[in-house]
Amino acid sequence: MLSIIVCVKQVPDTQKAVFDPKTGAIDRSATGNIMNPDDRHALEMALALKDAHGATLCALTMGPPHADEVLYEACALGADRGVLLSDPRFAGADSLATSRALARAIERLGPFDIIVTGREAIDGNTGHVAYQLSEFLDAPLVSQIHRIRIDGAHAIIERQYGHEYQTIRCPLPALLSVGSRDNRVRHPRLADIAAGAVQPIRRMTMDDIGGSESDYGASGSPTIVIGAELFSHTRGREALPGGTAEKVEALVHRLKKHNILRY
Amino acid sequence: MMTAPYEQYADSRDVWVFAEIQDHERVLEGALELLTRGRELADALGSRLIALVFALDAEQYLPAIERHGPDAILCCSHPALKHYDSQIVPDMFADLIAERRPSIVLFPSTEAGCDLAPRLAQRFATGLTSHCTDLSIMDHPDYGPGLLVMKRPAYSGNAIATVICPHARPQMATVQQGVFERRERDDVATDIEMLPFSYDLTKLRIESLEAPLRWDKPKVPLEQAPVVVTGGRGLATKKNFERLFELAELLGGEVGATRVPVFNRWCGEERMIGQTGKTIRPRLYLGFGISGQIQHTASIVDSEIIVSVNTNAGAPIAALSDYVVTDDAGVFLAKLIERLRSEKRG
Amino acid sequence: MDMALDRTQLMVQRAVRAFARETLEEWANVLDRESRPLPAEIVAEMGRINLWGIQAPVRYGGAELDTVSYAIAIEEISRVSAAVGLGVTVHNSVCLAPLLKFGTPDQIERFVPDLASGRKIGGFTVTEPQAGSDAASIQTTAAPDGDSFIINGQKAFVTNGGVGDLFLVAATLDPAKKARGIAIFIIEKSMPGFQVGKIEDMMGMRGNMVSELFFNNVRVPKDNILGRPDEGFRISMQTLDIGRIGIAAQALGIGEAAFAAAATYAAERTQFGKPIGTFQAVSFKLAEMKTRLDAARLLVCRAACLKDRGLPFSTEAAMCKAYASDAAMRVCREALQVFGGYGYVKDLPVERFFRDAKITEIYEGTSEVMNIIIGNAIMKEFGRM
Repeated sequence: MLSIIVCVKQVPDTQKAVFDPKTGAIDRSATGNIMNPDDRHALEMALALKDAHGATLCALTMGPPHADEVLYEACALGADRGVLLSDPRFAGADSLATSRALARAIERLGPFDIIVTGREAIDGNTGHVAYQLSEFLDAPLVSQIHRIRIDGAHAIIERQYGHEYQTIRCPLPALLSVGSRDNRVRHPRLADIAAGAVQPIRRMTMDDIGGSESDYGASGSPTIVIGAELFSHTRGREALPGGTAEKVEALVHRLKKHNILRY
Repeated sequence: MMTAPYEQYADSRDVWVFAEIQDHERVLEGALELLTRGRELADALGSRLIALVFALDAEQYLPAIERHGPDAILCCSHPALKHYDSQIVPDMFADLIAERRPSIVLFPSTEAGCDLAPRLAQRFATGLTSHCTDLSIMDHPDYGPGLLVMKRPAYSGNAIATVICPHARPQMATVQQGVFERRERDDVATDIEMLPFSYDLTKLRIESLEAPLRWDKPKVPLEQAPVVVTGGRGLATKKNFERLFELAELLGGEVGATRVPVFNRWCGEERMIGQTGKTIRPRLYLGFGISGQIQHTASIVDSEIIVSVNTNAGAPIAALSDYVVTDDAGVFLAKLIERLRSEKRG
Repeated sequence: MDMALDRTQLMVQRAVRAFARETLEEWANVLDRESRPLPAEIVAEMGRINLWGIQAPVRYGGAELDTVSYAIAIEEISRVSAAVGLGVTVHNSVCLAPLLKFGTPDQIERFVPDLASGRKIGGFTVTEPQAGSDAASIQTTAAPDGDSFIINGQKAFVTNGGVGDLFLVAATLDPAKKARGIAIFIIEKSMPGFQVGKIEDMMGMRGNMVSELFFNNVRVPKDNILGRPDEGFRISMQTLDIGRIGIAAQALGIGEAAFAAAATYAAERTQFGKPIGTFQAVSFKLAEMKTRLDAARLLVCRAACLKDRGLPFSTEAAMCKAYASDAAMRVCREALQVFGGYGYVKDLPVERFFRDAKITEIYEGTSEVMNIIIGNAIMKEFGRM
């Protein structure tokens, strides 16, 4: 039976987020938290592999204590266990420090045949973690997966890469990076929610994964954010004058000026 | 595989750009833009700009790269480099960084760039800032002189973060295509250094089972359409909305929608632009009857020209429009179609 | 009573909200405009995620959730499509719930698995053309014939009538005995003589195939009587107590949808250079709407909690139903007013919320009947003093 770990992240729901207009920082108290959308698709990929081949499925997240919500959700959807990596010493981590902590936790929890991650998180939008896990764990990474099946110690994968459609064979253990276009996520069964909501969650701290404080959190992060501002999209807002006919004329004239209309 | 971080980096100065080759036929436009910006950064630092190209028959791309002003090109040409490979290129690139210690390495935000950059950042335990929309050089009172300042969107485009990487080298960034202008110049002499290819191909883990098929999408996706005419609630009826298709055809574009038309089934969900739909960056965005909620506008802000047609001059979308038409969206749409048809006939 | 939802309840809320938004929302307007039922594949998907068996035991294919979770699920579905919410609440609370509560082990084994999984859709019917609030005056008859009863008569305004496979039907064994002559029969669509009449062309809830049902010498085995033959009226009344929590939750969902639409619009629509929500004429409306909805939610939650603890909840169910349906109606009226002319056109869903809300003051006991129940309880309490 396959052993699969899926990395999920709790993120503020940026669609409903409230922002500080001066700093651009998110008002976390006013914003609901959700499982990162791409991670739902990663979990779906893992669940589909479990359905097809049989697997034990572990969901792993790093975050504050309340990030366990996404693990209960993962269990409601079909994960067999949840692990929360939480320690004040992990706070302020950039993608490198995050990847390092996750990689070490995966090594402690493993071995795994397949590690699944979402393509990127909607709060950070870096898309680094999958690639950096691939480096830390020295395992190949495949993304843009269209079809996958397991054949012994390999995954046979059809995927779209650039303008090409490829069929590849990748040795296990491997990482799969999954985005919103790669599959359709399922909704949890209410009966499974009731069961998943009371699943015990394993909690791990820095003491469980080793390393020193300088490896993690802000001190283990080479990048520093020195400023943030709410994005202002304001433009020229030239009002086109006159009645409807004049406005049409004025617009056509400007589109020609910008070389969009060429007659 | 971890490579030791730079022990000291006072001597690391150069600015490197990954000159990616697109579809094994041309230098990626975004790479040429990055060379143009990289030149300015190198000049500000008083250092050299180096372009790196790994490709099949790589020599053919050198003239185009040279015209964008690097002091040197490091070039490796080999059939195994026909496609970007996520083992070969990072290994070769990492060896070059370890040996020559650049201060800054820049990558286009493409599939390949987004694979290569985080892998290298991990190997050198350095920072990486992705999908940057601006790069500059600053002297920081606490962190020292000559730092790369990277601006990037955060929270799905709602905010802009300013990031530095003061204590590790190289400083690395991936940059969205189209944010910098591309300029040719003839005042820089370019050295060309051909690198040998000595990669042990038996180390490759991923094996191709069939010859890859060329994959062509059936039609122009919304994200790539040069013109997107978009309708919202203010169009009021399905009939009005359907006229957008006539306008799109006249302008050589596609039709997009906000949530309300999709909700009302005036069009399919695949046309929805916004946080739960698509993000577009056409040359021209024409919004009819759209008030401009952030969920929609965050996904259109990179359009080159934004025109909004709305009865309400104070609607939020007006603030981010280049041209504002205060009029009934349906009426204006009909008149514009009529006008463009007459122009085509005449 | 716990005012905060527990983890399961929060997760149910999130999951049903996501399902409703992603799967039902695109259908809500279509069902209303075309007066048609949900496609079979969506009904089946709702079965997979246990929406047809929210409180049924897990061993019969249900989710075995508490009544608070049940009310949350109904509210979330109704927020997107009240018509779908209606189908779900009727199936769960006035068909499945009485079967589980009053059914014999044999009846439960025979009927619950198909219902709890959504393979069969259920309904419950007392009302007849001539018998509404006066439920004891029904004229559908059940005549004993060997091991069976022969059912004859007509039912009106049957929720799920056009799509249902199994109905709990009230019929009288002896009209002279009035209430004590009424029995509840489990009648399946496949029984000869069962006929679906006209689908009602309604003001709202147009996505539910509310219909007439005709029974023409329908032979029903004795084993299909729910409870004792003289218990039908009591079962009906207890069933409606449960049903009213669901209807109140449904009204709450409609009200929440109208409120959210109005608040969003008020924040976005500018007149005189400011968002209209900053004018007191509008913001006071919104404040009242929100307060009413929250008060209704607390009443629904109290009735649900009492039921979950096995305490009497009949009066509380009547109060939450009367209050929530009134709140929904008022909120929809005010929400439409906030939208002005835009609220009156069919491009936006506010007018649908308005039309859907009205029936919540009527079915499963009108607001006036709720006041009778509440009033009787008051007199019972104070009369004893």
